[in-house]
Amino acid sequence: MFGIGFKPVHADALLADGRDLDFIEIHAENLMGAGGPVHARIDTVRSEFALSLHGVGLSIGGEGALDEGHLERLARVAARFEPAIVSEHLAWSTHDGVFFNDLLPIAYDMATLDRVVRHVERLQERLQRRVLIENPSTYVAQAGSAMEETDFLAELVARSGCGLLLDLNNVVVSQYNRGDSPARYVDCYPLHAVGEIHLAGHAIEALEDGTLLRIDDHGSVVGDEAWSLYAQVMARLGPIPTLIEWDTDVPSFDVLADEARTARALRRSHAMRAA
Amino acid sequence: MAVASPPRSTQRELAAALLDPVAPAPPRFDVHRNTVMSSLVRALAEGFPSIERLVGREFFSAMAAEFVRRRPPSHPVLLAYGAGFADFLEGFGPVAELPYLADVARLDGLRRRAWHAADVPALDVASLSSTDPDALAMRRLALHPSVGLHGSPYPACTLWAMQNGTDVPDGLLWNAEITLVRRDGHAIRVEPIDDTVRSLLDTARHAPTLGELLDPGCNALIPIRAAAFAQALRDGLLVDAETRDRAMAVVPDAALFDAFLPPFPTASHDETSP
Repeated sequence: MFGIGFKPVHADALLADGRDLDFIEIHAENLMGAGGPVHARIDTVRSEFALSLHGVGLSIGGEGALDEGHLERLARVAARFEPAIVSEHLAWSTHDGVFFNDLLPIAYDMATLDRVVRHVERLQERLQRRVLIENPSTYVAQAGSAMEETDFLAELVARSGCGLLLDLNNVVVSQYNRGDSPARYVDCYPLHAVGEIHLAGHAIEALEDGTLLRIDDHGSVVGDEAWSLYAQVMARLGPIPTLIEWDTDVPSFDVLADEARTARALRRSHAMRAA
Repeated sequence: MAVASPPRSTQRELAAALLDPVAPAPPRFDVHRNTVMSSLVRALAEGFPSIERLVGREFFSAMAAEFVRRRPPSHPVLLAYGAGFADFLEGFGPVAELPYLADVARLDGLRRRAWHAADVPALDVASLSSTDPDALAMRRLALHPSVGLHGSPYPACTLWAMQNGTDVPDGLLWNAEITLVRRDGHAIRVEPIDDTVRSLLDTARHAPTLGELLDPGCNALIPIRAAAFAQALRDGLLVDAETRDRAMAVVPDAALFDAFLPPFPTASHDETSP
């Protein structure tokens, strides 16, 4: 299964020329209106493609209680649009009633793990389904982290029964920013729980002190490092739904569809070599 | 290229630093500050395109950033962020010379509300004529969820239209205007209305029976009320109240966009022109 993130500007091209795509991902919060043209458009899209619902606002890593009001919105969107996949992020975005619209880093320690497990359990209980949790892009090391992110995710999977969304671009971004190896991350990562893979491009910015910072802007083609991690993952896993994300300087539909075709071709050549 | 070890930060401290560029924060925290501010300013620009056109992009961004610092989102649905923006504009010194700006912003808000409003079939003449008279008398009516009204002492509707590529045949007359915002298929209509339609819709928003809706309270006004009713039917402004309630019961959040509803306008002769 290969898909792309939904962009309203691509809708007509997607419906006309998207035949070789299998699924479309849309941010859950963009469907939280009551109805109208946005819902009508997604109804048309889901009559042709499987839907993946990608939440960006539940703040699962937040220190406060899970926002039950927002959980209810998410549950109603899921009931209305019947997605094949539902995912959220290992991050926080709300504090004390203020929503920051960013995926902020959490500390990897036992107290945080206990809290995230409770939040994911509550999410899965309300939605009555398994949810995939995505690894974040990080820029700032969180003080107090006693565990590796990969161990934290493995524990989260073991205790909550959730699945994982493996974002390989985030792996590249975070590992370079941490001064660590992306390949090592994938080696340590609980691949058995992966239900979806994200691929995207990122930016590289020079800081004042001369160091380079990788920034997850989803604004370019998938980078070589992410493709090589994808090959590394494919060598160990069967077919996994794979999505191309592009959110900044969105190109024409054809460019995105071509990236998805590249992923499919890579997958095919791997399958042939394995056979 | 190891990340320097930052001071221990709780989410509370980081949250306080996100909207405050001089608060203490870990190294590289500016990546998050930039994302937060630029994405929220962009959400306001998308939500208030008429205001961005009226004041220009650069000024809008600076003004929106100030709003973000004062009134950051209180929920994660950015489609419905900025309900307080019009009130903010009224008190924002640098635009004091553009007193109509807030009302134009309210129309942008009603446009957004109408775009995302629930789908409820409009009442049609056929369904009225096929219902037996007793049932018809009991049936309660309501406004279509996309319908929003706004009364302004300024020609807010005309000013809005001029920012949105609509032809303004009569030019800009500096009069008070009552504006009706509604969804028409996949288009949003933003139109001035007169007091007869306003008065009918004022009754309709309290879920009247058909008899109550058609009664203007004075015999001489019956033909005028009937004409306003015909216009409301033609424009799809009325729905069956029960059908509306059923539709609203399953939407993600029925109240989310109602924060964009200004007070219902009073009779136009109460308005005072500046």
